[in-house]
Amino acid sequence: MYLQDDDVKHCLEIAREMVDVYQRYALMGKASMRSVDDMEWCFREYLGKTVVVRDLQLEAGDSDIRGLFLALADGSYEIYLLGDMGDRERRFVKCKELFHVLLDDETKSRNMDIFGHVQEAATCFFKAESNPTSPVVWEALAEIAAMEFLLPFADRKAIISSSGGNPDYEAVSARYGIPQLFVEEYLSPHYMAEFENLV
Amino acid sequence: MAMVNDMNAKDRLQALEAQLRERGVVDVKFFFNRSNKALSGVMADVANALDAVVSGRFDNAKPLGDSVRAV
Repeated sequence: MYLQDDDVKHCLEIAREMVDVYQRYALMGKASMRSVDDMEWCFREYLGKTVVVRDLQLEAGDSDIRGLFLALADGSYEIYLLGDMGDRERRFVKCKELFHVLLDDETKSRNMDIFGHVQEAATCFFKAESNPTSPVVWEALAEIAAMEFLLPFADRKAIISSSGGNPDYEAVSARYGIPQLFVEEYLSPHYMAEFENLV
Repeated sequence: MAMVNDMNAKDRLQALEAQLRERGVVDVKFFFNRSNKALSGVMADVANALDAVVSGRFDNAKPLGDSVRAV
């Protein structure tokens, strides 16, 4: 999926602002594993966001959907997590959906054509050559922001450097509380090269 | 048959979309799993999740338990 550099820089800036708030107010804010529960607390206490997080009575199982984000006309937000996910996946899904709150943009990110959005996302999301509309791009930006919050590029670079380019993905996954699939993806040479000039 | 299934999925999603709009929803986003599931399967998963939302089949979320904040 093609992403505009300016969009990625914007989402990384939002992630860094979140890190600043988190480090200012959350205990042990500089620990490797950042708390997504404390991130949510920062939303309420310091960012003035009205966000409700709910557990769906629907098991994630092999569903392609792990979480949902809803923006409401009154300015509040709702996040829904599917049941029965592992701790790391649940953290990552909640973190990504919380970033949709910070990235919400009435002119760029919003979409209520659900069929069209899912159709476009399903066909574009994992194809390098695709060039989707902005609501689908925002799905990717929220994931990038979540990764920057949970495992910042500077840490990724240090991990690769200290491991001689051969990181222990499972150890990184455990230390930062992120699914190993995403750790491997974001530590890959391709992703590292993409972010090198943007961070 | 695939076209019929796509139409069913589209009708179902549009009905759910209308219910969400009535609740004042102005944007919907999803966390998509990394899979190669066929589009019809993805549509069904989306519809099932949205159906749980509009039907009120949810509880307040349990904390992740990763907080280090003193309560």
